[in-house]
Amino acid sequence: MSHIHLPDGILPVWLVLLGWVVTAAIVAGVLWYLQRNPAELTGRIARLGVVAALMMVGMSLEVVPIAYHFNLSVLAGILLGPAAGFLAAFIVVFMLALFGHGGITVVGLNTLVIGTEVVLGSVLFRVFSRTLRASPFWRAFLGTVLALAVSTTLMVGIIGVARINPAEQAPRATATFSNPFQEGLVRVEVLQEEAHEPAELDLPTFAGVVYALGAVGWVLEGLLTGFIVRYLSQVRPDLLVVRRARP
Amino acid sequence: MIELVDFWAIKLTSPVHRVAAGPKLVAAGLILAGVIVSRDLVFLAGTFLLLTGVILLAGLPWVRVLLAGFYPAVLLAPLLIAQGLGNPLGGLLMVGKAVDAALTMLAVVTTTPYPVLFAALRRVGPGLLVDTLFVAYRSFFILIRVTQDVLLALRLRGGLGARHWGRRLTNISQGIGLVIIRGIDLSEDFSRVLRLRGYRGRLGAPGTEWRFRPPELGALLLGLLAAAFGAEYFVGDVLAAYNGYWFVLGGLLLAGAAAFRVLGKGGPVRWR
Repeated sequence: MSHIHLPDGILPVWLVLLGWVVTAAIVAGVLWYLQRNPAELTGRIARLGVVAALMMVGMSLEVVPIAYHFNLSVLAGILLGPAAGFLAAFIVVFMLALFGHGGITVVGLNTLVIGTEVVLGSVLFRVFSRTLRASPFWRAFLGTVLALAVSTTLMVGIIGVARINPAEQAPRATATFSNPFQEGLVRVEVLQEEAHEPAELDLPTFAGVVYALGAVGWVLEGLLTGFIVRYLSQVRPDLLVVRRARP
Repeated sequence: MIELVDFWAIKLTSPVHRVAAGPKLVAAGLILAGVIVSRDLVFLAGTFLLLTGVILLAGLPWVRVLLAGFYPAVLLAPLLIAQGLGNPLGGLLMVGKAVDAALTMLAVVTTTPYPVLFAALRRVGPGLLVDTLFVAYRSFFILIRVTQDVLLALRLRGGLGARHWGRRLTNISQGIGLVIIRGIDLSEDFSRVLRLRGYRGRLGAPGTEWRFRPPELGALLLGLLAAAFGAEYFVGDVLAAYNGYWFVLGGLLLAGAAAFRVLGKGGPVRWR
């Protein structure tokens, strides 16, 4: 749910550009960080690819009744760490946009939303590991639910800041066949739009729908991530500790 | 879906598949730009007909591709509910843009093999980022294979038939955990291969094909027309008086592609 499912051309240009600029700056920083350490580069690239592919598998599976799809973004953050996890978020959002899932111009903003989940989930899991005496399942569950709640709020905030006003984007629905040589001689108007009262986007209703459907998804995703982390902590606990690259 | 897209892009041969990648990507970019800036429902409807024609001409299973194209429209539901019924044309505009943009992207990725696509991306993006995209794409297929094996094992051992939802979720999670472990093991093998071959942040890739024969010129012309009609609002509504012709052009292309598909050599393509 914490994915801006808006097509291209609806959000204001300044917001779309801002999303791209911030995302590009963070991605450039992560790439610079990775390239500083060639010894870790190959290992990181390969693991990043696998985790990004796993997120793609999750995002392409939709829980139909509530229009929710699993992100597995917090799991990506736990496995990769915040920096490489953000890069994985960008890759997944870009790939999904190539396949028509989310607008291509919204990739920047969507990366920020999913990247927030990744970074926050990764940090929260580490903080809970140090402060809580809970099992890996509960640490991952809590981290996932909190990260998804924050990223969904960010998404609602972006829609609120965008101030989508249909009155400003009044569509045209008239088909005309003018004659370029004798203006007015052949002019057929097939469809004629009717005047409608411009309807403002009702942000509280939007937020209500998103939170109501999203909350179910957060719990489902939290359970799934929790069970996966519990399994990994029993079978391969080394995967849950992300090594820090020495510059 | 991604594995099907890959199969269609590599295994099918059609007039659309044979268009050189460079002009095809430019044409798709122009159509996308037109769809992004347009506020004209007639233009969007004409573009939908045109893209459906392209999908038919490419020999793709058009019902499946169109369903995938409508998927983003389903995800618009919360926003459309919040907007209410006060402005149905505004809702249609959003749906039209979502579907047309998705179909444009699908028309490209289903008719262009991924090495060619990534080679084109390499011209505009950092090499390391494109390499990661390439590895992610490659890993996706490896993971799909591993996932299928794990699911089969779970099904055979009754792990997915449990009536208790909690038990079933635990089994699925353990299956995904196993896929992660297997995937990471494979990625470590791959990283050793990269290291052995002296990887320094750049994988080898083919160049982008640039040819300008009649099919490429036709694709570019359609792209330019789409961008011009889409941007009519920004260029003083000069073309707005002719948008009906764009709709008719889209309809004619669709009819022509349907006739080509039905009457063409070998008859209609059948998909299971």
